[in-house]
Amino acid sequence: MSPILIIAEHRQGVLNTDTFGLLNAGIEFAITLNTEAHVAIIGQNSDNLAQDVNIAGIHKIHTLSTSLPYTHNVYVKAISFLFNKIQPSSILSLHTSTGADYSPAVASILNLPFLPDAIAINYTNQVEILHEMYSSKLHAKIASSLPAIITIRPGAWPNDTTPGNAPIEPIDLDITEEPINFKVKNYEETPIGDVDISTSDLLLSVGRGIGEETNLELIFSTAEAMGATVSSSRPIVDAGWLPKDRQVGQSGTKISPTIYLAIGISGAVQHIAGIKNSKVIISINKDPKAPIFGVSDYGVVGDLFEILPFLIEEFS
Amino acid sequence: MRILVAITEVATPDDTIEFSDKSIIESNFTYGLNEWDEYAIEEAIQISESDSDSDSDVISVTIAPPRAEKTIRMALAKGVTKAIRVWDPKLELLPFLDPQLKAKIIAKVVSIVSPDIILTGVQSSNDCWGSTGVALAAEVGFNWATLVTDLELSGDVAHVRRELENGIDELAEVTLPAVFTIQTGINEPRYASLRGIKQAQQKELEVLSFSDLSSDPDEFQSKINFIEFSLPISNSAIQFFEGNPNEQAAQIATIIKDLGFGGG
Ligand SMILES: Cc1cc2nc3c(=O)[nH]c(=O)nc-3n(C[C@H](O)[C@H](O)[C@H](O)COP(=O)(O)OP(=O)(O)OC[C@H]3O[C@@H](n4cnc5c(N)ncnc54)[C@H](O)[C@@H]3O)c2cc1C
Ligand SMILES: Nc1ncnc2c1ncn2[C@@H]1O[C@H](COP(=O)(O)O)[C@@H](O)[C@H]1O
Repeated sequence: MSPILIIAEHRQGVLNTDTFGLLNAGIEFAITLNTEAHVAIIGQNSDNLAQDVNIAGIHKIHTLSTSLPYTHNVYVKAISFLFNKIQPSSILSLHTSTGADYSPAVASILNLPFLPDAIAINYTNQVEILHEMYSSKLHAKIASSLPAIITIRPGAWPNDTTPGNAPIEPIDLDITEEPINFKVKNYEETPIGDVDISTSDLLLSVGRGIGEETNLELIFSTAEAMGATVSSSRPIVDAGWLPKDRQVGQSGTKISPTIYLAIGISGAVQHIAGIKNSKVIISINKDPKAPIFGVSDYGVVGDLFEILPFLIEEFS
Repeated sequence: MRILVAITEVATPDDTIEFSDKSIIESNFTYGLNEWDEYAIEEAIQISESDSDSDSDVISVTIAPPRAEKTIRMALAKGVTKAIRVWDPKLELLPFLDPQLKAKIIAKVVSIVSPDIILTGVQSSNDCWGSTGVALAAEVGFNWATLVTDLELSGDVAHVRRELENGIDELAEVTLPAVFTIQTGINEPRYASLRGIKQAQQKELEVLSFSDLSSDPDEFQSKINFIEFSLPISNSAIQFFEGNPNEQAAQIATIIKDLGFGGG
């Protein structure tokens, strides 16, 4: 069978480290199909980054160098070109702001099936993936014929690797034309305000379960009593109740405290993406099936408004 | 300016999801507008309100069974000018719609409506594909920008702020016509006024089937095969604190103090 093609992810000269999980997913899938795993690195700095993805299990690295920064137009062109050249059995990317920006379009343009956000991949007589629905409360196993365009969940495969020695094959590709329809002007980072939640060891994090803005008093009182820093899930920031620098998660801040106390947070994948490096996770949620319990060390199924007042007492 | 906004009705399961071989059992569901689409609707209405062209309108499109009309009326009550609902008996047989099929169907509506811009949400909270907007853009040959948290139009160019990972934003320019996938927090979605709710009853809600969209209804085939649903494996490592709230709080406090916090 023809190789599995893995699209490495990088931006502004830096490899996204979740690429290693992606590589492992691709290598595993290639072994199942008894075929080779190839990597493509597209765009600026691809030659410099080629050695970074040269890990055991990879058979070939294609570099498609351009002077253009990442835009989906550049990727769609480059991947379509490579698809026609090596006719892969499937193409794998990360389901990130980058991978999900070009993969659906690649599938449409190549007229191939698209399997998004896989947390597992299997092959019987077709390619099967596991996809989470209903805020992670239901798994759907879906499948398609090969070749398919597949995106995988960042972090769903282990990141560990050992060095390899795959040949690196530069491909001369003419995508130097100005991408006139989409121009990147600038990048900006969320400024850090009065607190830096990424350095706090005890975080008390509040989610939509708090109900109303005035109820945040209860959270701040609890945090004060135990000496914790207050952080939150996204809806609290969207509503303007807390500044953006307090948001934990994929599009907020990744944190690594000793204790993460999640109060009224359901545990959406994009939230969990930011809390995995916490040492101990304690959650309070009234829904026994809340996905946050799936990653917690300790849990309380109950009403936060009944529990927090007692928690304040414990520290007074 | 004509704005098409794709909106979907989603079900929020109360607790555990029940399902059969081929479908989800929806009896214990409450239905509502997808959270991301609330923001897309608000953005569409704000764009049309600030448009100097008095003919500016916002048309919504939803692929859903008749059940969704109550939710669609809420969008009309907020200020959507006209709604289109697409449904076909063939869709009843599917456990869900994949993003390519959604895009194919909405693309037909695009060719009827001829919008200048299309807004979608970043993702639907039931299917969680996070992909329909880009698939649609590719299908209709529009430009696109995903994860938009700020959108300013000037002439045939849109200035967008895109929210990437780890607190990094990208500022970009996109030439119209284009699809924008709208991220939560971009605006403050309005509530429907009583007057709006009344007016919504009079607004047009057009229903289209596959044969209205294409002379070849067989073109709406999914490339995805559904195999089965399952429940996530529960976490066996978690320890739940039992007892009354007072006892539960005491157990939490013990853990926190044992780890050296809270003056313990
Ligand atoms: C591209 C993208 C990026 C995103 N980035 C992030 C991110 O960085 N961070 C982030 O957090 N989210 C992010 N999200 C949003 C994410 O998908 C969820 O919508 C969000 O995390 C939900 O926040 P929540 O858990 O507070 O709210 P909900 O999901 O509404 O959960 C509220 C919880 O509170 C519980 N509850 C209600 N009342 C009580 C009570 N009285 N006592 C106890 N429990 C109660 C409920 O059972 C429920 O589980 C992102 C989404 C996308 C698509
Ligand atoms: N059934 C549907 N009808 C109309 N629009 C939809 C439908 N499903 C999804 N969308 C749109 O596509 C976006 C992304 O959904 P998804 O790709 O399913 O996660 C949603 O926020 C909607 O704007």
